[in-house]
Amino acid sequence: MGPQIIRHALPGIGNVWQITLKDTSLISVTGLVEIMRQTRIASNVEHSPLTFLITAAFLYLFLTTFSGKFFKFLEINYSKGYS
Amino acid sequence: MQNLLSYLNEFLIFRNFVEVIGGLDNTLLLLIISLPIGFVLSLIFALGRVSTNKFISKPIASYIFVIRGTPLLVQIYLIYFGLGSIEFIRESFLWYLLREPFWCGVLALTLNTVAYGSEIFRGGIQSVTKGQIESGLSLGFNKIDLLRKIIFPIALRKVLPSYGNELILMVKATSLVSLTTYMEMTGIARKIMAKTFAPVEAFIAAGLLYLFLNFLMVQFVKYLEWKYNPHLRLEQY
Repeated sequence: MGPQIIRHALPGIGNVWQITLKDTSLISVTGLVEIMRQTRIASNVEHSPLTFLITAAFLYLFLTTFSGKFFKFLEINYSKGYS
Repeated sequence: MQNLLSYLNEFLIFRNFVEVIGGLDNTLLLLIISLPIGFVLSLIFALGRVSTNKFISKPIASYIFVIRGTPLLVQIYLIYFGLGSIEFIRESFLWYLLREPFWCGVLALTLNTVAYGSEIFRGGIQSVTKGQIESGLSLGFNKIDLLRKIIFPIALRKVLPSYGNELILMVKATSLVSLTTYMEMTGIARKIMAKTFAPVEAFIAAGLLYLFLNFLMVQFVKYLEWKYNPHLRLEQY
């Protein structure tokens, strides 16, 4: 049963993963030092918010793109033998 | 009545509730401006996205990719703190808008909803079958009539559930604008938390209000679905 369930669930799981990845930036509000918090600290110290915010945006873009590619690979892998 | 009010006033949560409702207008203002603009722009962008002209579809595709790949918080910060740090923008007329957290919030929310909305509408537009378009062409429809009378009605009713989902997400996304010192419901709840050191009561009040807003939004979407899908209504006996 497992492989069949995973094959159908993968696109949904990939979607939830992407959304949660972006929502991690919200945790910065509570004070945990992750990408966003670090960005705010750095831009406050250096007085150049634009550079650091663009870096953060690229980091998130990088993460979402590559995890998207990974899920695509998994989807293809689990669809072997179907089609 | 007077007695009841003074009795309720002893509860922190009731007082917070009254105070947080004061931010409801600001939250609604954000939505009322950004959702209609977002709706119209997403339709236009979705048409551009399915266009065969690469110079139109490629830039739109990359815009959607960037907006959907980065968190809304980053976009709000980029617009509020990032754009304000550029000398060029501070000297131009744009500064009159961008120094206000409200307009930064509207801009960020609109950019965000246009990206998600146009992907939703693209799905709807592409789901219109070839036969339906050909039947329109055979009746001598020009391009505008084809869009107005065949493609949009069919596509819009198909995407209503998923666009309703996006609308609900937008209601919740407005809470992020509070991080740019804009005083809407979450902003006021944060102020109460800082003042009274009672975060639970403050955010329960704000949470209930968001729940109420989203309840209204769900009913609205349900009504639209009922109205525009007459063929799916249950038979009334």
